[in-house]
Amino acid sequence: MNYGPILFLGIFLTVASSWCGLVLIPHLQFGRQQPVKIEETGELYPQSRPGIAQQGMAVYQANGCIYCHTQQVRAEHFGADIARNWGQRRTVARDYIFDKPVMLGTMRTGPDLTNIGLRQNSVTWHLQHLYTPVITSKGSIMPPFRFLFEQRKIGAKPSPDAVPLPKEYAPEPGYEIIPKAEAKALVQYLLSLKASAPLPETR
Amino acid sequence: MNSPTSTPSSSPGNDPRSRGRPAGVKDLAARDPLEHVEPGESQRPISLMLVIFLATLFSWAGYYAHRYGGGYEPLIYNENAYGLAAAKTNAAEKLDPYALGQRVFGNTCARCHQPDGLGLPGQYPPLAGSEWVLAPGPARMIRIVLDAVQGPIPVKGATFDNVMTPWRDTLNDEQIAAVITFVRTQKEWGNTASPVTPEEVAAIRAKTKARSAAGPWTVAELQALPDQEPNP
Amino acid sequence: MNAASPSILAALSPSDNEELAQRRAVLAEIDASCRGPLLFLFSGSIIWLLVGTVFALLASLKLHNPEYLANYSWLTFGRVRPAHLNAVIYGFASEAAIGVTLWLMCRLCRTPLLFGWIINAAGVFWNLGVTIGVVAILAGDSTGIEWLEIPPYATPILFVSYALIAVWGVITFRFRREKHLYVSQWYLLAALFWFPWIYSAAQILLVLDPVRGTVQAAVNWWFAHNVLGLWFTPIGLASIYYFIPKVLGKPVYNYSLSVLGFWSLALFYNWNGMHHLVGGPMPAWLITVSIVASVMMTIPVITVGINHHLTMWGSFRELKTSPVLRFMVFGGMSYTLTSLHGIALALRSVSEVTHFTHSTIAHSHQGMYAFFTMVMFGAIYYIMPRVLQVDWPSARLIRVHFWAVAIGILLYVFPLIVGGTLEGMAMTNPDVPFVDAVKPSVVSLTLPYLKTRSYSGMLIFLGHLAFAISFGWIVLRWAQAGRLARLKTSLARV
Ligand code: HEC
Ligand code: HEC
Repeated sequence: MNYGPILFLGIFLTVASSWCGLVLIPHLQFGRQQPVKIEETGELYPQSRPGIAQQGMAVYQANGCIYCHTQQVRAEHFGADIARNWGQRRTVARDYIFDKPVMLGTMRTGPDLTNIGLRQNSVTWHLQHLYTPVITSKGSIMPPFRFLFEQRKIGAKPSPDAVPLPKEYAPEPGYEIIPKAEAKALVQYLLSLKASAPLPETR
Repeated sequence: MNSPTSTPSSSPGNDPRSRGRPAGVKDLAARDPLEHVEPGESQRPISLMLVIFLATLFSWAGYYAHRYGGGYEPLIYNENAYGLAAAKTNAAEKLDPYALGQRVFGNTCARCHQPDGLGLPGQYPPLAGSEWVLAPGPARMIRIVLDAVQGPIPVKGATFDNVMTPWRDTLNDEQIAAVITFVRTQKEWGNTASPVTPEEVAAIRAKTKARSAAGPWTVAELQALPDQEPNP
Repeated sequence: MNAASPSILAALSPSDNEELAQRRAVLAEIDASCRGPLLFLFSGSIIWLLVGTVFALLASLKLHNPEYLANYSWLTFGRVRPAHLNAVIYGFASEAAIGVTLWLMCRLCRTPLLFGWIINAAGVFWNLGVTIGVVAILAGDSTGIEWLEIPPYATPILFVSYALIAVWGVITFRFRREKHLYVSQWYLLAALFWFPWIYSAAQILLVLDPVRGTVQAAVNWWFAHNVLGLWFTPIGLASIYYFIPKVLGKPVYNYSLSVLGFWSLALFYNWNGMHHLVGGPMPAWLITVSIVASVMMTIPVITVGINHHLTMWGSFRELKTSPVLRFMVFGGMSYTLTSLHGIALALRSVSEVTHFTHSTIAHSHQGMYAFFTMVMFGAIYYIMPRVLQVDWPSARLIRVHFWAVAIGILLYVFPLIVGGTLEGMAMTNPDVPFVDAVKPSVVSLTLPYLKTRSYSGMLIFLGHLAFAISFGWIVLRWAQAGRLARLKTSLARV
């Protein structure tokens, strides 16, 4: 193998092959999927997220939730995703067509969040949990996201936004914990996470 | 440029640059008298074993790609869709209701009501010893689990004012019956009420379908209901 | 093709001494020409190594101690972890890889490093790009795409830098004086060509104009796996192929195996990426194809493993006296191990359990660290004294470095593989709670392993400090020696 051009040709062709096989063909094959009408409900699925949830997605991205949480449910015969109630069905490519970026994730240091909006739709719970996860989940190793909240002196009357906290975690008397806009948006994003519409290809 | 071997000043000791050169260790010296010229390769044939190994591997690859390739269709996600195993059904194992209920509880209710069923003071009411749970009939509890409850609610002498998550769309009748059975019969918490069947859940699910659009129940609505579901 | 390296014979036969001296002179000239760029690249890479290790330690500690430094948004786990990855991958490993590639290319092409300023400019840009990228990640500006977190305002800088290096590579190759292409060169040329392809394709299809839906995930893992497979692995293997025979003064065991190993790697490695998505929302065929390609990786792994091992055969005694060899052999053996482990992890039945757990992390460190980084350390130990013409000041520091990182990484990888597998077994058993205050849970059972990892991280950090000190010291010595030499010449003139 002393002949440079042949070497170059081989080097070029090998990487070109996988580029075609793993990038180009998938793009042609399922890179243009459209929403479909769900028979049961008559609605189009999926729908793009509302604006505030989009902003929340940016917070999710910035704070690296993806390094501990996946957003993909595996099939019933593969792992315990469905048995753990992380979803009613596996997820498929069509579930993600409006996501930019798609955050499938590769680590489950925490539970899968594909359907967290169905499983946990309480804003208060999410705020408490983000503020200090061990409030709601004893033994959790999820990092606290207290920097998404601010501590404020209570004004004339307590703010309706204030996060209710158990005594051990509450600020000193006269103060309250208010979620910043980022925290509110993040929770809206979490609530928008649901992939349960019965798509035909999931069967 | 001096040749590294022939500079007179390179004898160790004289040269300030090689002060303290460690003994018995190669590679560390700039002027390594042992440095060999650039490496080369020997020519040998490839062993027959390796050739057989390669052939086996390629045959396996062909088989696997065909068997689990899903026909190279974009909408086939199940690797067993084509081929032998398609016939093999993945029938879910039947669990006894208590075990299934424990599983559902751990993955859903425990997030708020806590794994020990004691809830969080001021936030999430307890299920252990709760009068809502231990009522003789499950009519109200089934409704709470299906469509949730909100607003002030008295539980074990304390009042909570919060919102629960509804489970109508995310748990099936079997799972709901199981989790209610688990909660109602969990002896560690001192709960000793009667079990609940999926049929009871199905009946109430059907009956309250229209009501579910209105959001979670209020305590007043629930208290207006009879304890036992009247037989239709 | 020369049948055997002439080194030993030549060294023994006095009649060849003249020619040998000649060849050595050429080598010395080449080494000297590399001095500036390599000093720059290696210093940069060692600084990134330290920075990256600090981030790694922070991330590791935070994982079992979530309240540690929890109130600083810049230091939250989800930012420190990608900062660590980008600092070590693009800062440390790529920069070291580029440095080693330059030197190997020059030596194997038998040309001095031409246009050193191109490399220096590229180095400046590269460091600038990585710095902006890492700061941006800490500030919360990550793209949210694994391995490509660096935001789009920093990546063009990296790309310009890379383009300069590639241009340089082509020039050097064009002006080579050695017509024989040694196996290391195949790998180096391939890596130089592959990296810009995968990097630009991923940037365009994921960041500039994202493709739709999970095709993004396909591009993402095609890229991320190929950073390892088509960039670091070839450079690592090229180094082992060069340094083991070089230090031993023996030819590589079998040329045919080299050829087979190279082409099978080129053919199969780049198809591996989708095994990161087993069970994911991808058509079955895509996953299946990658699993097949992963299993086919046994061919290059076994051939390269045999080739290295049989080259070493009978010379294991040398490990005692040659630190370079020690790092190289550690790296080579880790390559075989980690690859076989990776092949197993790609299988559906294994992946079902181990996917999404810490055992994946253990695996990637076995590849990136126990294999690649160790090889880079070895290479730098060989190269530095030759380009600076100064000896390494302390064998003890090198010994500390080797043992700290070797024990450290073993203590990292093996417990975490076990812990991750246990984690996966718990996670696929729905009756084990995910998290619980008292009962054993998926979270609680990983804790001891996560703690062990922090300890191993400290050990590795210690090793890196020893390395950094050694490096600083040899540079200092070189600077002093230079001053002395200048002094001497000026005295002689008087
Ligand atoms: C260090 C890893 C880690 C990071 C980073 C992390 N989490 Fe978690 N997360 C966990 C763990 C562990 C749990 C399970 C225990 C618990 O509920 O706290 C969890 C649980 C959750 C849950 C509850 C899931 C359920 O099934 O009830 C939500 C919601 C959540 N995380 C959201 C987030 C968001 C949003 C972010 C980013 C801002 C984030 N997490 C970052 C580890 C992490
Ligand atoms: C989002 C957190 C949350 C989850 C998850 C949740 N609950 Fe509740 N639950 C509540 C809250 C809050 C209340 C009180 C609502 C109110 O204040 O009106 C409540 C009330 C109840 C009550 C009546 C009061 C009592 O304590 O007896 C029952 C029964 C109950 N939940 C059962 C369940 C069961 C069974 C599950 C699991 C299928 C479950 N809950 C899951 C938050 C939750």
